[in-house]
Amino acid sequence: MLPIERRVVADLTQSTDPALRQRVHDWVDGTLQDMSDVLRLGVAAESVLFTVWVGLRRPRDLHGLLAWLDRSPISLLRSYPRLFRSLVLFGELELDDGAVS
Amino acid sequence: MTVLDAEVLVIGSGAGGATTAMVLAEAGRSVLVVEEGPWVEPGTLVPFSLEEMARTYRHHGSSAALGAPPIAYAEGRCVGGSTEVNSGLWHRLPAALAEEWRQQYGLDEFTPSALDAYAARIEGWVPVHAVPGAAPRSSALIAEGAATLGWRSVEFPRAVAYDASGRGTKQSMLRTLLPRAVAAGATVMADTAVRRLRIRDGRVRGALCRRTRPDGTHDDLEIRADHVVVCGGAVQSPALLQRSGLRRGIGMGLKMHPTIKVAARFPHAVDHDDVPMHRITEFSPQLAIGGSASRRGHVALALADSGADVRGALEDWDHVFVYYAAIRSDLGGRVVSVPGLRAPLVTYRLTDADLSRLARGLVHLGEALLAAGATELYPSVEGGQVVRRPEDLVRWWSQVDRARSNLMTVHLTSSIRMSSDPALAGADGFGRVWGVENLRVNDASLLADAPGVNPQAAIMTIALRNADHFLATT
Repeated sequence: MLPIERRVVADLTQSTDPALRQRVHDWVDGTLQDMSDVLRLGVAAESVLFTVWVGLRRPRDLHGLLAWLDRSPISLLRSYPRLFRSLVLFGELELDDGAVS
Repeated sequence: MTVLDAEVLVIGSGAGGATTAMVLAEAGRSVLVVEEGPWVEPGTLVPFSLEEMARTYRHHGSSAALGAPPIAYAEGRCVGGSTEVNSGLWHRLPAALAEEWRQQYGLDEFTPSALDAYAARIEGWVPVHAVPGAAPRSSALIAEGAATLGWRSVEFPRAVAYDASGRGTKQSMLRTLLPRAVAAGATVMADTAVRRLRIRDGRVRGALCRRTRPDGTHDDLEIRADHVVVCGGAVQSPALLQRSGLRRGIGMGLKMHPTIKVAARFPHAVDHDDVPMHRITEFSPQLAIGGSASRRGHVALALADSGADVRGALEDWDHVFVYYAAIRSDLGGRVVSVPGLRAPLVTYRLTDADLSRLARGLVHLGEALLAAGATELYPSVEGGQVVRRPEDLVRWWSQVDRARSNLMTVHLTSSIRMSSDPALAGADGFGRVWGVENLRVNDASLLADAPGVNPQAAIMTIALRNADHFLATT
């Protein structure tokens, strides 16, 4: 994962359990690595763009970025937080040992 | 490079590949099956779990056809293919569709009665049964909603065998046809990806492959074969043929069942262990309504798709189940192998009429679920109205659009169609690729259109027909 992607995953993960957080991180990382080239390139391109965006703003507000992307009229931009939110949500619920399946 | 020889090389081990391998092997042919994915013993992974997705789905289940809107899709990538990961619902190809395809594409031995005879043979090999006793609550709710509205619904059988206690075991290819193929002398080689076919002077000579060893290192193979049958599914088969220099009629006309979902919250708990076997058939074949895998993670994703505050529903997740409406679409898509990229580019176009059909499907789905007692409906539409009363469903008509609809599918077909007319399709009426006499396709790619139902039975039926033709002609 690119640095901003790691930050997004960390930000979206609700659990405070370090082991579960690591498993979620690994699940998202594995999924991104296994993604088709075209989709991965698209996600990576957006990540680079948003890295610049966050870097230029003070404070470096990841929350603000995700909220802005969620409200964007451009569906491609909205799809970025949605992708990570979906992966993290699914991973967190499915990897939680205490979860009921 | 290691060199292997086979009389028949079957590429892919799913519904089409396993059928081909078993029929040819039991007829005494020397068959080698190569499968890109791993061999995972049946029953070792929890169905629809994260681990199953990671180990047996291509791209961890995160594939998408680009378009407006994009459509997420899932393909199995393991020995047994998608039959290892699907719900096993069993629908013979509807007779009206068979007749339509026969006439449109000039297909011999494709009458409904001929196909029924092949389907019956398949069902003799793959046990197909309805659930003994009462269907699970999550499934019965579909029937109850339909009955309240006066709509037709059907409980479909599945490729599942039940023991005396009623416990079901899905009859995937790893449990049925592949063991028979192996018993008849076929070899199944897992973790072996075919990079391209070697084609010269109008004949395929074999395939260049890369096998992944357990330690992660690779071994390059050349498999020489008298005949090659490509059974990698509607995305991978055309991509392989394109990588091998074949493009005419290959990868065009991809079809799928675009699907929109609703997470429905009920005042009572709902089972989550299985996929519902009831379907509302009132609007078939253009529109099908049924239920999806609904583990906690799936429920959460479906709830979150609406963008609404779902915390309350999520805490109450055992009262929530995910249902869907799936359509047959007007247009289609393409599979394009791009040099330098590992995975093909997949695109799909929906017409305005398709979107209208999805909206209608969503509204009908909502009507059925409210009639079944649901108290809250969360559509897979960003900003979509959370509906609690039938009179609010009308809002969904305008909310299903290209920008906000979250669509998915698990059925992909028709990317290398069969026809007796080479101008209409990439393969002849029995799956032989035009221009390469000993190369065949025998999987979902051959279906003339998405059938509006789970295609596994249709894929296996056509694969058996074509395998019989192979034996009769070679």
